[in-house]
Amino acid sequence: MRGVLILLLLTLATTGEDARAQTVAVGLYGEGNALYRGGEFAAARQRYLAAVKTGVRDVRLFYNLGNACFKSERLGEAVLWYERSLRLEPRDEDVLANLRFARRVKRDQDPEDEGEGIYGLYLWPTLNELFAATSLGFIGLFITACWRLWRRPGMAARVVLVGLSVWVLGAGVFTGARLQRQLTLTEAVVLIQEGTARSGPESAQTPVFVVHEGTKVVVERREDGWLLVRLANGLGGWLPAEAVAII
Amino acid sequence: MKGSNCRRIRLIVVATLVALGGSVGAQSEFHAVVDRARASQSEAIRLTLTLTSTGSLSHVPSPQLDLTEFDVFGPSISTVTNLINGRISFARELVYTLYGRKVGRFRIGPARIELADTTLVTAAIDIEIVRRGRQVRGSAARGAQQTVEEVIFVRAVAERDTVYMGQQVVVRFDLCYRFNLRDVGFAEIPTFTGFWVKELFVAQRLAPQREVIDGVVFNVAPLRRVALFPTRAGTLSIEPLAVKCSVPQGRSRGSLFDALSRLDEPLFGRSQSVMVRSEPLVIEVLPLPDRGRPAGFAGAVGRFSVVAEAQPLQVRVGDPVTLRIEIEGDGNVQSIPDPDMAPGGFEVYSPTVELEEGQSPTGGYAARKKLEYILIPEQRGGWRIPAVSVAYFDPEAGQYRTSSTAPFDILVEPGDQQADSAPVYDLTRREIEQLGRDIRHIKPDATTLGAGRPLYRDGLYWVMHGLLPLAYVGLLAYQRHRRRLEGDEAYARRRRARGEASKRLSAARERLDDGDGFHAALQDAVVVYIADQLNRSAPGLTRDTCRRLLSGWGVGANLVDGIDGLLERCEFGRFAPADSGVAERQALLAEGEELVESLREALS
Repeated sequence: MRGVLILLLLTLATTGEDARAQTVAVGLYGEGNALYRGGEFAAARQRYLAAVKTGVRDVRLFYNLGNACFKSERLGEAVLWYERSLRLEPRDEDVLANLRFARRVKRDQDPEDEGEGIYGLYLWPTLNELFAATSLGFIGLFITACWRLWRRPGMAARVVLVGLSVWVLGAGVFTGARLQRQLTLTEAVVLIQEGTARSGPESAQTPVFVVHEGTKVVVERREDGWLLVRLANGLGGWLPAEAVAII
Repeated sequence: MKGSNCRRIRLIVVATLVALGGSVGAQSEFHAVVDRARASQSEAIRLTLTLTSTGSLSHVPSPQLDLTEFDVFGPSISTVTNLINGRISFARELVYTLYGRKVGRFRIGPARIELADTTLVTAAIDIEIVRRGRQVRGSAARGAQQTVEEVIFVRAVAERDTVYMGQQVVVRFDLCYRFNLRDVGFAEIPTFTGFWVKELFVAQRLAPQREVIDGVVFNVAPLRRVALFPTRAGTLSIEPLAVKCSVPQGRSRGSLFDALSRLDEPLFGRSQSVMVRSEPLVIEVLPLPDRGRPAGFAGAVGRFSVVAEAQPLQVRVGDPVTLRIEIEGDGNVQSIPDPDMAPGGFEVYSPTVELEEGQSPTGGYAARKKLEYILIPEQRGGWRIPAVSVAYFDPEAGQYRTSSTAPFDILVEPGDQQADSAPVYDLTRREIEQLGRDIRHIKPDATTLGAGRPLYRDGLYWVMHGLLPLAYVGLLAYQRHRRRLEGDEAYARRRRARGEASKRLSAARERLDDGDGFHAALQDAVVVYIADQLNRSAPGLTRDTCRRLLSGWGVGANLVDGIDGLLERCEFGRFAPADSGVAERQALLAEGEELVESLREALS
């Protein structure tokens, strides 16, 4: 019981810090918007970045930051923040539209079928939605089980119980898979205008391919300031860590 | 035949030897001649430079000659080898065709040429350029004498010679001629310095029409028509336009202009080059008046009109409104800047601009500028797209005017309505593509941020999910407890025993002053507690029964003795209450409470 209380207190304390950070972030976000509307995109980008440093994660903030980067001719950063926005809201129309636009502008073209079909369905819900769906099933299961303590269990109660159990199990597995993907799949975006990927983590190694600003890659390994990245077409090579930013 | 071949072979052999020998010791001469020393500006002067030498001419440089006062065509170069009396000589001819630019006396040369061992210089030649060409006898039928200018000339006509700055003035150039021409081409094109130029017509071939000029029938072919817009005030001149062509030359002696009488004859044996120029024009350009100049005037001169159309007038938030503006006029429409559309409540995209150029009914330049704006309403309510105005100077009236459209009132509804209730837009495919040329706008201001924090990083989320199973276990235990209370009497009495004992001990405390009642209540509390704990009937429990039952449940002997002693003192007190004081009864109550607690621990 004491442990639960400590956890609750820690949670409340964390919530208080979050509230303070949020207040600061809201102010910076508003300043960034005003600067953006005035055409001062570089200054707007600085405000948005300061808001991000408060720890606040919000799709509007990330999206507007992506816009400011795009208007400041920082294509790689723009793609990075659009991708981060998508992690929060995979179905946001504005983010999807601007990301499509940025992909058309950049030099390296992505595969056309990315995010479509079954894989698209797999990525369709957000992690929060999956956790919420699992929680709803869990709470329903709890209520049904409690109701069963006071009432004699009938067929309907059993069906509901089995259904909810299947729901919780399925949603839990789905959520776990997505969470595992989120925590283990490291994707990054190329920030420099042009980078040469090499066969090993050294500048003297043989060039393997050339990537350009805004290209999304999967990071497989890190070694001595170099990252082993893999493109969507399967090509792999080592890039300096400072050439990319993790999404 | 044989002798001819031998001579040719000898000539080639000797020429080769001379060429190999170079010009060492060669004798050279250099002459310049013209075919006429007096000519009009239209007549070609044929200048021939002849270099003769007994040596090779294969590496002779170009002659140095000042011909800046003439329009020069050529030279055409030919080389002749002569074999006279067994001596070989070479002659190189350079033929220039010259046209005088100005009337007056001019000197050609001397021409100079640098050879390997010497410098050769020709004599200078004096030329007189006259306004009118030679008068020659025409056809016998006409019996008249005509100059070149009388039978072929370029006519330049400006529709007006005094204009305002920026006002359109149309200038046309016509070729007027009385006989067939060949190889007609532009020799000089005026640059129209000081004007913004719009080409209206350029002839690709001659399309003449008969026209009587000063009583003489001419073929008049339009060459070029331009609309000029003066860019500065003052006196501006329009340079001549020159045309070069070949005119037929008669077969008989001195018959150049005899050919003129044979108009429409298809073939002539010879022809002569002629270049004719238009007269320069002078345009007086007046500055625009300062008086009455409106604030939005940007330099448009002419007559303009502006019309606008907005569709639809009732939209939802986020749906586009198309605003079309057309500015039309007979002046330089491009000088009118795009209207700065920034109405409140709308996000405005850069317009698409389309320019349609054509000619006015009077043959001048006219244009229409089409602008299409896409406006995205951002908030619900009634919004107004302001009127569009174009200020211009009307040169005919000599005053400034303004053409305006009416404003548009747009009703913007909330954007959360069903799509099927949306009004129909008159949007074309091109307009939709236009929206995609830039990224979408930023998201609006917010009062809160951070809704995107993942749940799995929220401690409260996991606390809640941990508490739910615990709550279920608690409810499960409670339910079992309740059911046992209902079905197990011994368990129920045991669960209630402590409470009952507490109530009875409290009753005993209230009777501390009543010696009889106190002892009875205390005895009752202890006996009922033992009965409840052991699930026995309280009325049947005597001190001996209690001792035996408690001993049988494994209660310690000291505790059993204590309880027995307490019950004995209670029985004694019930029957002799006056012997005990309040302090003694308090001590007895405390002992009773302690024994009940000890018994609970022993039986649990």
